[in-house]
Amino acid sequence: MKIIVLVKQVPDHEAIIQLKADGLEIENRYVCSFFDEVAVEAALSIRKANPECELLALAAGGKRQLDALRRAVAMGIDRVERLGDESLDGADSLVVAGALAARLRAIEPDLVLCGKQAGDDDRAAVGPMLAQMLGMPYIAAAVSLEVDPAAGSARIERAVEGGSWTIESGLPLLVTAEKGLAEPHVPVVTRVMKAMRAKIENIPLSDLFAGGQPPAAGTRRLRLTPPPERPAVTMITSAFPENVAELVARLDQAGLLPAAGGGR
Amino acid sequence: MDFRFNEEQEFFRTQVKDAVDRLVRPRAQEIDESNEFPRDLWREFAALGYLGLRHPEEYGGLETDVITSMIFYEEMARGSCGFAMSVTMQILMGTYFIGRFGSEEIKQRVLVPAIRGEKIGTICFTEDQSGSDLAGTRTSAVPRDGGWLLSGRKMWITNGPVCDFCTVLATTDPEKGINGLSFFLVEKGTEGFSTGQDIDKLGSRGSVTGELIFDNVWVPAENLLGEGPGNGVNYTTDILNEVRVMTALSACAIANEAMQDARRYALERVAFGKPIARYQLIRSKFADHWAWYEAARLFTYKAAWMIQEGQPCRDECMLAKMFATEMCQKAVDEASRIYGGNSFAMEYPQQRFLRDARFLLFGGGCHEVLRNVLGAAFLRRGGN
Repeated sequence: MKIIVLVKQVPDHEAIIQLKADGLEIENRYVCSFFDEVAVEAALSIRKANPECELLALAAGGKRQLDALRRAVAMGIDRVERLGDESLDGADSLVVAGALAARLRAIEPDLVLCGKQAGDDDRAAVGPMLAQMLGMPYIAAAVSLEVDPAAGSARIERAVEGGSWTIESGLPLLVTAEKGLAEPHVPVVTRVMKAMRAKIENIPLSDLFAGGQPPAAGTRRLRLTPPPERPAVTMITSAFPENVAELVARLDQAGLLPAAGGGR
Repeated sequence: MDFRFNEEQEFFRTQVKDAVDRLVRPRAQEIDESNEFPRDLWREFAALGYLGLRHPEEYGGLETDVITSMIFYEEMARGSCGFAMSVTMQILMGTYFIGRFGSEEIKQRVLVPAIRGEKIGTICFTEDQSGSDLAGTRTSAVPRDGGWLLSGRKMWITNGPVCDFCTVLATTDPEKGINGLSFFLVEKGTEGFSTGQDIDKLGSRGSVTGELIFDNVWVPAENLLGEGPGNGVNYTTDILNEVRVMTALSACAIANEAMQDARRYALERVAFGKPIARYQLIRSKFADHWAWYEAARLFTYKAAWMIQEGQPCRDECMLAKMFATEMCQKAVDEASRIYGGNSFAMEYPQQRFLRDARFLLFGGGCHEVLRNVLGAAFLRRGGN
């Protein structure tokens, strides 16, 4: 049974990100997207129950993606591949899904796992697009996943308002991981060292689409707009009850109080 | 020239950072407040395998290079100075002489479980009247019944109260002073070996520290670590170089933690209608810190590189330790001024950074001694 996990490197939550006229300026601090790590852990759990499973992690994009793949190796994935180049970093979801689909058609996986959304743009688009391209059933935001390779089926649980929703599906199948599907473990250092030294194969776009055309972008970004700057906070320092009177006066001054006698 | 870490080292840092952020950092305040050795965290961390960083693979180690190990120490200190000091004691001095000079039987009995975290180790240099002045060591070892009889008391021993074994510096020939020193392995349970008073420290709390007592402790001849008695001081230089660079990077880590925390505070704290980060006097503190921090960290990694390259670098390691640790004192002081009164409140981390920074002044040689040695070295060789 072949299980493929898709991983992506996203800015660390502590990285400084600034909107500039010509795009985003992101501090060079990246980590593997959290939901992708959940997917990796879920794949490792399936393999623990089914030792014959082959695990392969894929990332689409430039050299920045190498560390997401190394992270997958550190966690326990057997093999990893990087697809394409820098042109796929931040590219339209259809383009990224197209590159992944091109490789997956050749691999013919039984199960594809990825995070329910990337930790940077939150688009949650590549997973469902990929399932559509591969003609696979797709189940989003799984919190539980059991696979029966002999029967060629899987049982998936999704969290829904007020309860859970259990689904059965045949294989091949694409599932996106929600928090709770698995708890990503901290890798042991021997795996970290193995990941450090891992030689990671790159499959260029020209090989992925030999004899064919990659899908064109379906969308284009018009602009990025920062949120309006918050005005400075004014502290009212007088003691009670003067502070109440001052607060009311300031609210009135700002036109935030209803007109006298108006009520609600 | 190339000032970059390589891709593997960068990746290694992200993985250590992740482990520290998830396991150690959330416990830092609790470790500091309780001042208790966190055995559960020790076991959890040991299971990741980092305790064998510098030891051979045949004993369960990783045989990493010096730079990689320094990246580890720097990230550890960022999480919790107290826990980092316990871990680095185990990796560096606590097991160094056993790994280098221990018999195969000693390595299997002591080193292998130490790398797995099942046994805790330490080294005993300091006494009540000697620390940086190793020639003042009064703990003695005399030949007896085919082995050695050790007598004396050691103070300020990191991991001492919880140690399962220790490497003890003792004089085998008091008349020879510093050239009469030797190292001995003493294991818990040996008759006459006991723990004395624990020290309630100002900073680096949780790296439990105390007194060890050797009351006519007999150890077999194979417990003398090194070739023949009297060579102890010759073996200390190599490990002290690594210890000093480790201390310097711990100082860089604490300085950076304090200033990053102060930066977040300055961007949010409003005074007189605008964030305090917009005031020039606050900005100048960040500018000064940035310059000193970069200089200290760069020079420290240069010293680490010199160790790795096998170059003579005793002076450079001393300089790095002294410079980075003094930079750290300045950084935590300025960070606390940016934080204002809140830096004095126990609920915020700035007070911990202030206390932890002070701890680094003394390990690896107090600066008054280092300045004396370095001043003499400069007069002799004229710097680089």
